[in-house]
Amino acid sequence: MMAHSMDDRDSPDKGFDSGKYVRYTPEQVEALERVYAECPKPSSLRRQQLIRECPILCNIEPRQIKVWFQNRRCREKQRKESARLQTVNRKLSAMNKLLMEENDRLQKQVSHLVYENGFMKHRIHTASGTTTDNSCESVVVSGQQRQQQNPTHQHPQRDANNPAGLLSIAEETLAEFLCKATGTAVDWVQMIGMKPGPDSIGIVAVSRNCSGIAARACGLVSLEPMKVAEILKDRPSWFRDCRCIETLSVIPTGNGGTIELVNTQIYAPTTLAAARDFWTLRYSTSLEDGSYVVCERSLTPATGGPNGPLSSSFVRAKMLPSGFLIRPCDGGGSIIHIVDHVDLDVSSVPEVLRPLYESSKILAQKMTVAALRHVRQIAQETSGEVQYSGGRQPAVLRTFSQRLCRGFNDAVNGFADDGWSPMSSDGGEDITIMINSSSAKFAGSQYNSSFLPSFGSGVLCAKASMLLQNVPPLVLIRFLREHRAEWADYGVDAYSAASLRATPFAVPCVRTGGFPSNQVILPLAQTLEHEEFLEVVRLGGHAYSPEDMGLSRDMYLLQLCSGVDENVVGGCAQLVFAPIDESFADDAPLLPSGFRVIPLDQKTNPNDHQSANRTRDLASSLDGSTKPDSETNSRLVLTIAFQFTFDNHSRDNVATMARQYVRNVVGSIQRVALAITPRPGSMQLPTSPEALTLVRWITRSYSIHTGSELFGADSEACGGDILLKQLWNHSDAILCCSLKTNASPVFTFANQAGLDMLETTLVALQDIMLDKTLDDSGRKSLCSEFAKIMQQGYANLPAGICVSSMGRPVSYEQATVWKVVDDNESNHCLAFILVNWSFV
Amino acid sequence: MERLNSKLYLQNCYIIKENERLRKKAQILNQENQQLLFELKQKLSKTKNPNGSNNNNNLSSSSSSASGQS
Repeated sequence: MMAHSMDDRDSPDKGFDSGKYVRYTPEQVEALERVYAECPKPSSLRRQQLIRECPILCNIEPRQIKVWFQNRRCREKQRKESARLQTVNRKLSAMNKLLMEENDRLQKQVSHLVYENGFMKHRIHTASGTTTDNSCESVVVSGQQRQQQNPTHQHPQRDANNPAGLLSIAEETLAEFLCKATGTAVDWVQMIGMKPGPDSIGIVAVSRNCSGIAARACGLVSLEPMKVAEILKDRPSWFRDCRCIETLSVIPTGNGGTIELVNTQIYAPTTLAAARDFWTLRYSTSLEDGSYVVCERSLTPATGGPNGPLSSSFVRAKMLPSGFLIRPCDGGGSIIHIVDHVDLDVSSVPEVLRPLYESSKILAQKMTVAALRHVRQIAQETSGEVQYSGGRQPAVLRTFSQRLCRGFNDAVNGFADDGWSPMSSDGGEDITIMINSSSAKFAGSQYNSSFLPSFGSGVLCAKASMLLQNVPPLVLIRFLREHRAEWADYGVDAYSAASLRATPFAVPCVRTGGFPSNQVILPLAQTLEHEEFLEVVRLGGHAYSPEDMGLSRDMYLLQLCSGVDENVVGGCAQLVFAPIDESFADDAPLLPSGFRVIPLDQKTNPNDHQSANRTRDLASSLDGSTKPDSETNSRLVLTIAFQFTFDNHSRDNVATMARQYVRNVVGSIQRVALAITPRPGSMQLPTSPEALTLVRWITRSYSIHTGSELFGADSEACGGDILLKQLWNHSDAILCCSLKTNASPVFTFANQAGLDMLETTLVALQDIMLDKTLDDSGRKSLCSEFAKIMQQGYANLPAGICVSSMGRPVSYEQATVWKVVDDNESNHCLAFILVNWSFV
Repeated sequence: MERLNSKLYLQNCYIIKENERLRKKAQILNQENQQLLFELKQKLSKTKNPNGSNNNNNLSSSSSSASGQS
């Protein structure tokens, strides 16, 4: 406590000494600490009161008390700072360890490749008619093995009906899983990389060229390994699409581990294909080095296992060795490696939907990254780094999110097991109506007793899935969230809200165009990585008929918006909402409705030019095929589901209302989609002869001045048409700028990337001045290099920031400027190429 | 402690860059590797041709068995 004393102290009183140091007795300290706990910064009045009230302290001078509190606060700050530094240190050290391991692995991989390349080169040069087959085949085979480093022998028929057989399958699964988690057993393409700061989420990679789809993630979390295992084994808590997970038997293994036979059911993401389920063996065990593993794979007839329960509502999918590996770090944290590798039986899915089931990025988003983020979220909450909002604990808010998701999934899937049955349709239905009258629908949510389902009452769901083209998924969801008035009908919302209170409410007629209402969004919570937002929407109360004047009041919706963050790997987004009572009770009944958007084309990320992290899709770049059309032809599937309650009189009316409502919403969305589709004008590349000539001049000038080719070795040999396409579709921004000496240079031409970067069109381009686009340092460096450009023909500019026509800052890694000469060798314009640009 | 943290941070930055470099290198080598493999196969199939098609089949089947785990 207070430092050294000059005198010895035995008496409980403190004597104020001529020395500077004072010493407090343990009782005094205890009393002071107690006060500090309540009030760390007492006013002078309070301090005086303290001296008066507390006999132990009565002999201390008021000034000393003040000083004690000052010092105590200072100590508190120091302690907090020290603790924080230690935490950061632990995180950085763990990251360091992870990165060094990866470095190690990469080095081995590279040296292996170098060796093989050398060997093959040698063989090629010395290959003659008399070389033996064996050595050649061994090269070929080893070339293959590099891609699959796990043993690829056929599994002998195993008997999984006894514990020993199960154990051997389990051990095999373990080995294969580990190869994938930390090795190169699957060809991984990195999606999100580690950032050097202590809060980086980790490394995420997806598969390429393997059977089924796979994703893996690796990250650090400040939780004990066993706690992490517990959280991850509880799949429904983080895997929002998981309907249930049932352990049918548990068998202990010799080394303290367990083998479980598990049936997992997953909701279908759309109404167009059936749901999937898995029947797996799950093996949990500790390893010698102290880490903990849970690995899992499907039991199939091939592996000789007992056939798991088959359900007609589900298509049986296959899980290849997957799982998670948790390694303890110093100081109580863990390094987690997660691998998910599944085969979702694509053949049973309609052709148009196949990309969804073949996308490892979507798998990564929904499962792998979701798991990692969930664990990190809990870790942050536990360590107190997350603030409470809305007066509620984060866990409670998370329950709301989970219930909203689950309710929406339930509506979209409509399993008979859950009490759903189809309502007879009027033929040729694009919209499916289903009814649920079972009490199971209300179970778990305490409705008012007056609301318990009377005969014939229940929940009605209207749902549909549709395909949209050329609409960026995130933009659509953002639009739906921010501009509710464009698609929602106030009357219908009022009906939903009123049914919550079990007050009789006439079923509204749905009007096209609806009744204008205003919405106010009150944020409630968001996850760490901002991939999920929970908010309350307050809809302005309008009375839409004189009789209802008294009833008109504000309505509230609890709304969850997920997948709209910049780093989203798979591109899926969702907007789910449910009317909620003003009291916002924790167990308030929720009947969610909403929209789900899933992109179908994974070759090019439709948000490539809008995301801050340009995720490089190595797969498509390695294919070597430039597909200029794929960027303009992105498709997505939109699933809509709305749920309403009805009572025994109003069922058919509600059905009619719901049908009409969904039709209107679909119409609104189609209208919205047209509005937010990237302008058609900007999609068409200019094919005029002038454009072809300009492009030729640009590329030729580049190669003349810099000595290298703008687009690779054979750009010169290409016809003008192809060259134009190449330039137009090039990912770096290419801009041309006028060279008039007496006027400020304006842009005269740009490729698609350039137009996207400047957020303008070819027509409006000429209004944009170079000066206004570059920032100070950009202008300075251009000025200083200008002479060089005129003489030598080109110059390189360092990385910098420029600004789009909308004022959005854009960063670029490098810029090259060169003068474009025409066929008469006279200066035509300046060309810029901005490499690796992205919005800040 | 702060100094130690900064050191670690910088080290991490460095390793990340290094890993990125290695990854790119591995990618390039992989590509080269594939090409060399292709060349080798071609060359061998040319030299083996007079000896019959058996060997070609062996080569092509083992190189096209890109199956993962069952």
